[in-house]
Amino acid sequence: MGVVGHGARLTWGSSEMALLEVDDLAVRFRTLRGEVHAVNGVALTVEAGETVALVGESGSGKSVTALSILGLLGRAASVTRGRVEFDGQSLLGRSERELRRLRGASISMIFQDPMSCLNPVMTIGAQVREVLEAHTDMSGAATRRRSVELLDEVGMPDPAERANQYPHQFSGGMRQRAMIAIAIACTPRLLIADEPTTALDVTVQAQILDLLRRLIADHGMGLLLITHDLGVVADTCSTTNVMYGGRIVESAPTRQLFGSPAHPYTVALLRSIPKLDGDRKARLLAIEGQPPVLRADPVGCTFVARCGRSLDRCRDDTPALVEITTGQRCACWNPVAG
Amino acid sequence: MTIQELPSVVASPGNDPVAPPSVRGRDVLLRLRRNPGALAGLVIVGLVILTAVLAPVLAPDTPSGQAFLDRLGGRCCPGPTTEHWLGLDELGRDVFSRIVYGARISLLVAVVSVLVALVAGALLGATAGYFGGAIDSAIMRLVDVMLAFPSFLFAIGLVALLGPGLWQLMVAIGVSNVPIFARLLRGSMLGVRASPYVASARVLGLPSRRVLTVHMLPNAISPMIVAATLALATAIIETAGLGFLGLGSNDPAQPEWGAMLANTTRFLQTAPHLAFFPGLAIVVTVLGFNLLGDSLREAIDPRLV
Repeated sequence: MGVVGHGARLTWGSSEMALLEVDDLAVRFRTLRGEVHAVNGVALTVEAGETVALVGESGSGKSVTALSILGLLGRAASVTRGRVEFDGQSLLGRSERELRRLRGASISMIFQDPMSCLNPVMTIGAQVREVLEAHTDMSGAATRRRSVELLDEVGMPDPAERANQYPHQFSGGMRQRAMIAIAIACTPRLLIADEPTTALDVTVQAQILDLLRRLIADHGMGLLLITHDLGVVADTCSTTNVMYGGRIVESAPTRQLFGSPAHPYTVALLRSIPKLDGDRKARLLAIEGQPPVLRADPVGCTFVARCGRSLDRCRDDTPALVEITTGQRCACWNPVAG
Repeated sequence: MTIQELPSVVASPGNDPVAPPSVRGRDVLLRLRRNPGALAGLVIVGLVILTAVLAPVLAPDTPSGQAFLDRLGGRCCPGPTTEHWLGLDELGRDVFSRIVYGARISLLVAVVSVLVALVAGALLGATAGYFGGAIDSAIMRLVDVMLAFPSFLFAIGLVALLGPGLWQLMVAIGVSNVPIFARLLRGSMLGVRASPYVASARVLGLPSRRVLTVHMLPNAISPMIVAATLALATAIIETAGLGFLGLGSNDPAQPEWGAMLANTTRFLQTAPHLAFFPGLAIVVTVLGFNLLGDSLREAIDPRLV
């Protein structure tokens, strides 16, 4: 090991500081039809060596949260409030130059679609080397050696030969492995995986999740896993944050969340998973209605329109994320009792 | 198919921003080989290039060499004979030799002017497409202004400004073609900019210069190759057109097909062959480049066929 980007690290904070701490983060997009409040007061923590899930349906603000951690929101978006701290150092308001040194070196990200995330006209090896060249002082020969090592580490057969091949010569699973090799090239302290297995076959999904688990354990990285697949969450993550309509509605240790969900949305989400041993004639339970379009400044609970347990105050009063039992926090006026 | 139609085809936002896997050198060559139009185009272009290169060997006479006028029997412009395959012009010069040497001029002007247009257009288009926003708007409005003039008229204006001559011709034709390339590259850069691999290059903290030159340009450039091939055909026509108007080179040792046509208009009734052969040379060469360009486009983007 020992491959660390020069100048890539911020000054390390004290050891009890969480690796990543996001608090009260709010992101707005300016659109032609007014502002969209994509993220509204998201708070989450990732410790080193821990895997944290961010679960939610499309448009709930998961990816926007991830991109704002990296400072990669486009021109149309802006962080209006909140705190993002990596190792005790704020990431918001940093210059593009400082962020660029951090990206790929201390914080890395892998995306959903390995088919299109690799440059089609560059060999895989060149794409791994490129990150090493951007963030370390390694010589050409050293980066070549290291890139083959990395491909080997992510379980690529014949890494030396595969390094000279182009993305189109790889299967989906192998491309995702290559993406992971690129992401961990500089042994980042935090890895953000945005739906890393969504585009893959189920068997390949399991392999990729195994790989991620092993890398987290080997390198003590923190992993923020963004997904809509609760099955992936159940056997990978220690803590789960459920996101809905730009807010975290429930946050708990995974076991506890699956065992005694408190927020009506989490309950509905868990009920909508098909079960192998269930009655085959029974209809799959869907959540009625549509997710909200977050145009106006949202007042009240965003889930209220689809919630079976809504009270009068749910419409006008935004519930805060409060601890309801040890370790389990829920933003609801009328939570489901465990 | 003209190049003006091309941008909408290759760079429409609906297209997959990622080059389809079939855009690979080997596949492109394979598809080209199966296409009779491509073969015809290749043969024609190859012959023209060969003619230009081997001009001193092929031509029986120098382009400015004159046969003794008394040997012509006092008649102007005798037609094809075994000695002078395409006849002699009004000054007793061998038409065949002049057409052969003319290939050099046409190709030289076409290639240089297209290179000028390609490089300048690529710079403008890449800048606009990479930065977007105000820089994009500024560059594209400039390009719109240039497009507002018909490109031939624009070239005439430039030659009028620079004076007649071969180099001025190249610059004029080159500059008048800049907007086409700028638009085209900007369009495909915009498509590539939105692609996941460019996003992931940014996420990996790569320097912007590297994102631009290594990740965006190589993926955006293939429509430019097609456009350049087709632009060669237009450049040859424009060269001939400007030459016809007397805006090309005045040097008799630089026979230009368009200029040859211009000189013969006075003899059309008595010696039509003088106009026929340079005209034929222009038509065939342009046809060759068009065939090649069109089939290259089809080979690179098989969805169009």
